[in-house]
Amino acid sequence: MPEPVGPVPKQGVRGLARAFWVLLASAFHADPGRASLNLALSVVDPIATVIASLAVRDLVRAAVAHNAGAATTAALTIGVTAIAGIASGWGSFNLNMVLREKVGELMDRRIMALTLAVPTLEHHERADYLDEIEILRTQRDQLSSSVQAVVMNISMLCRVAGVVGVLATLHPLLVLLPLFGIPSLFAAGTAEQRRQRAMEQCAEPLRVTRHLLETATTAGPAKEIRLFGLGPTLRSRHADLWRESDRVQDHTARISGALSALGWGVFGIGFVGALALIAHRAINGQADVGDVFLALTLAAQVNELVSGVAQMVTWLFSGLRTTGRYLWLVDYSAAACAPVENETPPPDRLVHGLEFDNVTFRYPGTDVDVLRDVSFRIPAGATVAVVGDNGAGKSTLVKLLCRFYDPTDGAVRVDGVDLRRLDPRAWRERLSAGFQDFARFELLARETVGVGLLADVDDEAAVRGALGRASADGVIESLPSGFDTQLGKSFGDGAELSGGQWQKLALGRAMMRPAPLLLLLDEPTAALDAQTEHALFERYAGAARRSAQSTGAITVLVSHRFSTVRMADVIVVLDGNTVREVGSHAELLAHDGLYAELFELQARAYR
Amino acid sequence: MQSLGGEKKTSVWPALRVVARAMPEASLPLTIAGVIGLLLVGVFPTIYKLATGALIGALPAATRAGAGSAAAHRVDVALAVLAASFVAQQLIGPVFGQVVDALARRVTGHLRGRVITAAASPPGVGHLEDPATLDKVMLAQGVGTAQITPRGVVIGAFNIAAQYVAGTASAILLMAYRWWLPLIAIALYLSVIRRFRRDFFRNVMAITGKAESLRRSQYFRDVALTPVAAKETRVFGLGDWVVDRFRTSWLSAMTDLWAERRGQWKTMVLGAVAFFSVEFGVMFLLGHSAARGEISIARLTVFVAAAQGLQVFANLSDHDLNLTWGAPAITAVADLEALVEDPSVALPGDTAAAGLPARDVRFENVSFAYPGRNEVFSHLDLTIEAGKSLAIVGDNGAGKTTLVKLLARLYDPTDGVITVDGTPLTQLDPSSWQRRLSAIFQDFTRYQVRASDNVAWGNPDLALDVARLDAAAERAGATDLVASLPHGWDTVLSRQFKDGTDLSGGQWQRLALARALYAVDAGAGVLILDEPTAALDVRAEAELYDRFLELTRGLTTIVISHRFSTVRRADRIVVIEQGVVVEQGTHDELMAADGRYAHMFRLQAARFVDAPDSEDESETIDA
Repeated sequence: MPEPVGPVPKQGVRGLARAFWVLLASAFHADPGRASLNLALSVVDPIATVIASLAVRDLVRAAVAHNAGAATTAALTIGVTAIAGIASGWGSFNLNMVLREKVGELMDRRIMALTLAVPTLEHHERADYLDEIEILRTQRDQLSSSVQAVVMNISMLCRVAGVVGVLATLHPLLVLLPLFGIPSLFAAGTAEQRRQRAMEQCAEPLRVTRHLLETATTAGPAKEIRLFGLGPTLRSRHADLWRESDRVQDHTARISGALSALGWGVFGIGFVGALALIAHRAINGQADVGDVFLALTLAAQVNELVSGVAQMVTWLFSGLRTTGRYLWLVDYSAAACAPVENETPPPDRLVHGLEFDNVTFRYPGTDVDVLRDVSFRIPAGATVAVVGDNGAGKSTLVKLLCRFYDPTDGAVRVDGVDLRRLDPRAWRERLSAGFQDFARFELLARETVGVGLLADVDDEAAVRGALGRASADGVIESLPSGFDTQLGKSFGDGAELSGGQWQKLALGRAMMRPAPLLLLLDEPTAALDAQTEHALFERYAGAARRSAQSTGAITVLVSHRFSTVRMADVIVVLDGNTVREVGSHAELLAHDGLYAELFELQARAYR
Repeated sequence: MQSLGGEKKTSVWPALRVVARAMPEASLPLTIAGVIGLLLVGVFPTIYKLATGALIGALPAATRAGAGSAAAHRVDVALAVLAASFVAQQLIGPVFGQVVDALARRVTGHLRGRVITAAASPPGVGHLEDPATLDKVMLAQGVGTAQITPRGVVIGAFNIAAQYVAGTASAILLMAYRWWLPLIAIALYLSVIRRFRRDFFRNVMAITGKAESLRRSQYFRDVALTPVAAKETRVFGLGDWVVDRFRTSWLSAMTDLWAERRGQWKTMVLGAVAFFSVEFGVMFLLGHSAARGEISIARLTVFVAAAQGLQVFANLSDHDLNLTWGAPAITAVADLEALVEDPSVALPGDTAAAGLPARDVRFENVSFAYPGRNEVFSHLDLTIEAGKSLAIVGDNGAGKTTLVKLLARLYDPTDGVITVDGTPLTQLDPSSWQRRLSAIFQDFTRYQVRASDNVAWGNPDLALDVARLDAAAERAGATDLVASLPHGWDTVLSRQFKDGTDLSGGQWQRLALARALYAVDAGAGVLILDEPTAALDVRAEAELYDRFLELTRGLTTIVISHRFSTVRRADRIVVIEQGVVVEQGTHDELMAADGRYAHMFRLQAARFVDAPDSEDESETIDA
């Protein structure tokens, strides 16, 4: 990556306001009832505390005046406010738990929808975007917990207002007391920022510790860990890295601890000053014992308040950062889903075919061309094979055809229409694809295949047909509950498949759409033997040729196996990120270029 | 859903016991500092309350005597003590917080280290495929319970303990008034809070019990947010469907829970009544005692403050949540350790395996089935000659990789016996035998550490020696690859690092091969190559098979491959079909025998034989 700058802009005041608003609104959206009740309860506690402190003053006054009746009233008031305070606390604790879960789910859903709505792959492949989404994924709990922080903040503001109001009745100067809390708020803010910086510094070692933990506890790597005797190494490396991150965090913790102690020291001075002021007014007869007691209680509450607000500051700082990431995703997704200019509906059948016209492509955020000045034509109804060394740009070519990316320069055309003018979703309904890095959908076996055509996902006959076309019927037969077998090791009773079996199911998925205009097969058979691949492709190409007459459908195959490649009508040879040769097998052999050389290399094994 | 191991666990105590034992091991100084901090956090507020009483008590006399009097001086002294104890309290707080946080981090690291050891130490791998164990592992990593780690438990425990220390100090103060009063108050408070905690704990356990449906929703979330299925979700237009499935499985896990929680309103009403009675009763008694002149105003002040200090026993905070949510992750660590120490996981055998095999490894009448599944082999007989290479050919799912797992004693056969130079494998010390083997598996591991570690971890006992690394890389054809890395051997192989690089599939495979060859160089006598060229391109594959003989000379080699280019070079080839050896011999023998192997080979070879090409060369387009 050329620039390590993350895409998330620093939060301005407007960003903060937007984040605050989004969080509050999401709580009301997720559960209006609980959110309102929670907000209402958050005001009860501050009111109760203020009344309670006044009642305690009355109690002391009643005692001084030897007035038992007044003492009873005061005790009753204290009791009632205590219930109100504690019960609202318990209530909001309960409300919050559910609210937090619901907001968490709502935000999860929104993040998922936003991510899935983006038609391109940039955010899944570009390192810095990938990081943002990954952080959002792992820290999204902060979104729901900062909803709580927002509510608490409102509660805190009410308390500050109440306490300051009562303090003002004792002496106007006491209103200044909360100001002494400002240094500790600053301390809390800097401490949180320092902590975040420290966490960023530790991100790399901690990421490795996670990787090591995962490696040690996963079945796949377990094999070599035992053969190489790696267990103790993994643990000691984990411990080393953990210590490294501890050192960084300890350092920050020491500074933060000192800073906040300093901040609290300042508040302590204000606190003591306030008490001294009231005490001396009492000595001078301007206040009574009850007032002093009230001042003591209130000052202690200001103390609690300041520490509460400091905690909120900490929470908000970390929560808003995550919210910032969320808002980035909102904007990014909206921009990526902008409507297509000059939109054309995709064709129902191909007449002329596909054309790469001087296509140059580099991945966003990088400065290397993966494809350079690539031009070739594929006539309607043809089967095409793409060959070339690793890294020659074969998969990129397929990605451009799926419109996962648009060319940096030049154009890909379908029957003369620039792909950019087609709505990606509509275009994709006309194609189907199987990839080398296919997804291992841990669903029911039927669904794992059926999602290739959602309309038929529960139609066993359709799934069976697709599996037949992919020569993958055998996989289902070997499963304990056939089509209804849960796949994947994430689930207790999930059946774990071999790499080849997964691949066959992925291929079946690609065959779910009955007659796509474009079928893309990007090394979907690497884990299968050459025999199976050949048979498959032969069968598929045969079917494609037959249907090609009516729809002009095109099949594109990427493969390392020349035994398969040679069957294609057109072979595109990529080398050094551009097209080196195009032609049929016979033509290319006769040409005696790169294709002929690679073919010979593989053929040698069979002589 | 599988059992969660600790059915008897109805509180956070088992987790706290594990933490208490882990703390001194993780850091003794911080543990001591934390405990001292606990006491100080309790002591200063008590001094503060006493000073408050002294201040209030001294005031009436000072008011009467006026400023500058001895009584006014007493007020100043009380103020000074009050100030000192307040400021001390303020300074201790943040320091205590940081100490506890540091301790919590260390405990987390310590527990994670224990998870690694527990998972990696048993010689077999069956436990890592066992759902019950996997559940523990997931839990121990904090998955499934809102990601709250052991850290939250330690911080929560210390903070709640600090509150209780302060509360106890308040109780002692209030005992000076009526000794039984604080006891009754605390008993009432705690009985209410215990009900709350028990309900929460049940709730959390219920959620961990729903790990399956939660995991399912988590799975759909990952499908949407991680790149694993990004291409297919787009090509097949799965967006709405994935979100919908996420919501359905999430709701199915949570709806019951919410219903259960509604019962807590009863506890709340009960609690409110108890709380009111205590609070009203204490204040009523105190107010009347003072009004009757039985206690001084100074004492009244202290007692009121003390009574308010008791409220911490009725407190529920985020610390409770963290404690409760984090607890299952901690007990899971202990459970996991107990699980892997179970005799069924440990494999028998204590004979050292040094120098083996000198003659051969034999599979005699071996049958094997993964737990709860169909048999992979029944009555398999196979001889692997020492010092020779053996290729295994067969369809997908024919059990080739399973055969290797049995050889490596990652599993023991369900029936039959495997012998090494005549000694049953079950008599050999499993680790000692495993260290005799080296392998590149089909699903080899991509260690996101330095390139050098990726190779040197083939034998971690060896001191790091660049010459040795270079030699392994050279033999694996990875020299150019290492040279092309921005920092050579020191490059971290992960894109998530500032100076790191990710490798392509083929490059990773070469490095994994270098690792396997490094282990051979360090003394392993058996080399397992499970599809070693699957990710390599034509040129790289050709290069590798040209060197196959050189790489495997003198070694006992087992190669599994679909590629005949590699297979045909082996000294002996076995064809496995449906768990049985159907053919074996050299390439030439098998070709002559004209069986299954010959058929497969010819079919493939025919595709490389060309009829003379007649096309005009000019038709080829140069781009």
